[in-house]
Amino acid sequence: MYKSKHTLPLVIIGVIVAALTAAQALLIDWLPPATSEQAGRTFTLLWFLFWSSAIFFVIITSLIIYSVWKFRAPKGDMGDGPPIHGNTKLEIVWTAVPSVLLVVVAIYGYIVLERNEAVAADALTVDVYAQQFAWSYGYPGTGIQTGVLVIPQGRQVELHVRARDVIHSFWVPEFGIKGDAVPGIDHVLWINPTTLGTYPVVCAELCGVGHSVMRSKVEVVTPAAFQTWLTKSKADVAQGTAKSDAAATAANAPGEVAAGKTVFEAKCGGCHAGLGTEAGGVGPKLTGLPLTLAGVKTQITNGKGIMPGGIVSGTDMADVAAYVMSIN
Amino acid sequence: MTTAHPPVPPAGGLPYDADFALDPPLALTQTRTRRLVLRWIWTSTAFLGIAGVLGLLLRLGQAEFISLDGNLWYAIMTAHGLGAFIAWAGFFLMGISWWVLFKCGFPIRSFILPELTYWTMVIGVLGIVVTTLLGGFGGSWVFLYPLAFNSSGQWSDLVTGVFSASVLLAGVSILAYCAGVLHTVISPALKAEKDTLGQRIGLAFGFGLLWPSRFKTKRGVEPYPVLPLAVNALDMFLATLPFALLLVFQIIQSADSGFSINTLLAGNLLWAFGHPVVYLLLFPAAATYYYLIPRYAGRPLVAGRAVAVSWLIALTFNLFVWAHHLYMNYPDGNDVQETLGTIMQPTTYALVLPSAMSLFSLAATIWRSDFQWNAASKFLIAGAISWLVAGLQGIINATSAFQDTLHNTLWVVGHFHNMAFLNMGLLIFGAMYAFLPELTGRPHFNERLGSWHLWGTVIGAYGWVVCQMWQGLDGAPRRWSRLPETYMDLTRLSLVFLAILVIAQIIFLVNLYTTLRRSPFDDPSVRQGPEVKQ
Repeated sequence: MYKSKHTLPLVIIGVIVAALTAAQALLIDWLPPATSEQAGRTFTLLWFLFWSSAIFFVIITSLIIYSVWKFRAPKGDMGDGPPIHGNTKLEIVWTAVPSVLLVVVAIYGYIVLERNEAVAADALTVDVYAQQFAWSYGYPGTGIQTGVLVIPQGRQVELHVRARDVIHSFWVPEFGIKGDAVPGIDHVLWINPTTLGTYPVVCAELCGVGHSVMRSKVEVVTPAAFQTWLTKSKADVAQGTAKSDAAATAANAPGEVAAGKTVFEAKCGGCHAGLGTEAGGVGPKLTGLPLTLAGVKTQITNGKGIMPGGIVSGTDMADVAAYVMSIN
Repeated sequence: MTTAHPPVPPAGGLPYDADFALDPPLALTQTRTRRLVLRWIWTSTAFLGIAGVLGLLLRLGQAEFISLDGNLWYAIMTAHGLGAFIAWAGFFLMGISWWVLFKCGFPIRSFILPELTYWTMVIGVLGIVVTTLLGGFGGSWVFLYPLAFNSSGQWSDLVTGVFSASVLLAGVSILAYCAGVLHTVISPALKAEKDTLGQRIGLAFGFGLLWPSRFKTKRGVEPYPVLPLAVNALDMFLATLPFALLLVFQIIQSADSGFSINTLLAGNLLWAFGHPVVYLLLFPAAATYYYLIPRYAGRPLVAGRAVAVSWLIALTFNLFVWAHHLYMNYPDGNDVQETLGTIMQPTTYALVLPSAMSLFSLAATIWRSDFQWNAASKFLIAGAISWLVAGLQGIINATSAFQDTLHNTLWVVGHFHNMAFLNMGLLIFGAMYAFLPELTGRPHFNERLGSWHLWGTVIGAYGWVVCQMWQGLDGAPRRWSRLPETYMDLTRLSLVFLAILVIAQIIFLVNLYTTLRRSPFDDPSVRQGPEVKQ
């Protein structure tokens, strides 16, 4: 009799709450595409935990909604409800059930972590440098320094993330990978990229006034394309070194506007909006200012105000200066 | 004005409700407590108004409806964070806990500590406002050492020093509050059969429920609201000390640029406080639920030993989970990281238990009761369901495997607004509806306006919070003055919900203003709140 009185309305409320919960889970595209093995595992764990939690949410919420509706006092009735006392069995059950769920999630979570951090023998090592407010990447043993991270599909990449000033955080949402760049610490991250494409690299730790524009890109290319890029970049480095050796510094050589635009986009575009032609960024609009080539080079080298010095150097610096003068 | 009214009778006849009308000295304490708590409520509500406007400016800036160039957005963010979390929610709940204790028969034993709590917080908050909005400090409330000293020319080391001193004052306020609560709770009011310090401490921390033959009280039933307040007071006292040390270090460095500390040490000192401070809000909120839900259900809280065990777990583990905020700082594969990942996750999970036990107890208390529907109880129920929602999100956040996805995203911002505004905030409004009539001596609020306030707040706040969580899961970091274009639609959509939220608060203010202008409660038809017979 007791069951027949409460069960049906409780089930009806439960179905409505469950439908609303499921609808908001299924109708919204919550997560970015998973483009690494790590993201695939983490996102699957996230959905497992969501649906487990949803069961608890539906049961408890339905119980509360039904209780406050069914057991509401009649208007004007200020009497007490029937007294009840603690129920030890009930307390044990409602302690044990969530505890078991938490143990299951903890074990599953450890398995995901363990697999996400398993190191492959042929991992490609890349150094990641963070400074207010730019990212740069170095490929050990090659001399390559870039403003865009280029990595091959299907091969594990081991990132060594370091900070040059304050705490930053390297994050590629589509990879499901994040790690803080802490001054004095070499923070190692592993990525197994699975999908070709270009993805944003962002800073996820407040690092100052330019935090929200401290952005870069990662390009996942085929292994063959990566090898081609690596060979060309090494050649560029060798050429740049030869230039340095030959002529005091490449920075004094005339820069190339087209090359400067590419470097500017990668290393300066975070702060200077619209490739330096628009206002609204952390750095100013660079058109229409009384600039000189020597002055631009000095500011790039030494920095000024919130702009750090030395973001680019050598040939890149000469090219960027040439580009800045061209738009100015 | 309040002294013109006769002492307000206690609202309940719950086993631990005190009958102060029979005790003239306590009636005097009641008047003084009422004045203190009222002052606390008005001040914290004013802070809510300021912090709310600042929060709205932040979102308007992200939506590019207003221009907040350069460092201003970050300075406003810092003021908003501290203002909303500590100066409104934390401060209100600290204040209202004096009244909850009083109603449970624990009058303030000395007003020195509550007054110290009040004034150090007010002066500290004013210092924070000046150093952020005028001095330009934009390092966020966690100030991410060494960022406070690497401002890219946006603020000076002197501003960092004054900001740190202001936050330190707020820390002193928390220490004074904790000491005051412990002084009030570990007292003769426990009515221990053997009135020793050990018995009092045992009873205050729930041993009367766990071991009734050893810890006996003449009260018969140990007041459940005392448990979370005692646990919070002891934990927060201990947790605030390392944070105060970090602030002192920053003050020294602001005066002597040659002084510095290790970045990771700073992170640990910060989060030793930065995590438990959530409970500075949640545990007094739990105490208020424990007091008010039984009042509207018309019977004592349905709880037993399990709830006492869960609060003892909270007492212990609160102090040992800080490092889960540092998962991203330590290098992966490092021994420290492995240890953190292994220990912090289960200990953080354990902290789910007090919330789970509390929610089960509250639900069971309502089951088959005669539940009174009014503005206050509706807010409490909505707050309790939000507590469940935010608690389940908390399990997701506590899972270390998700840090790579969720850490420092707008998901986290959505989560803590869910917890702070839609759980504790709704509780705060519920407590105002419940307690203000007896605190001010004015008749009850307009119920219909109260319902509009509730629905506007729930719809507006959930719409805004869901937008933020969605953006966060989709890759939007937190603390970005300018979000990428891809998030603009959701940012602007959230403003629609924020508009609803603002309108709801205006309704609340109108309701509050009207109520305060009404005649005192000498009209016998006006109820103070539902009476509960013994």
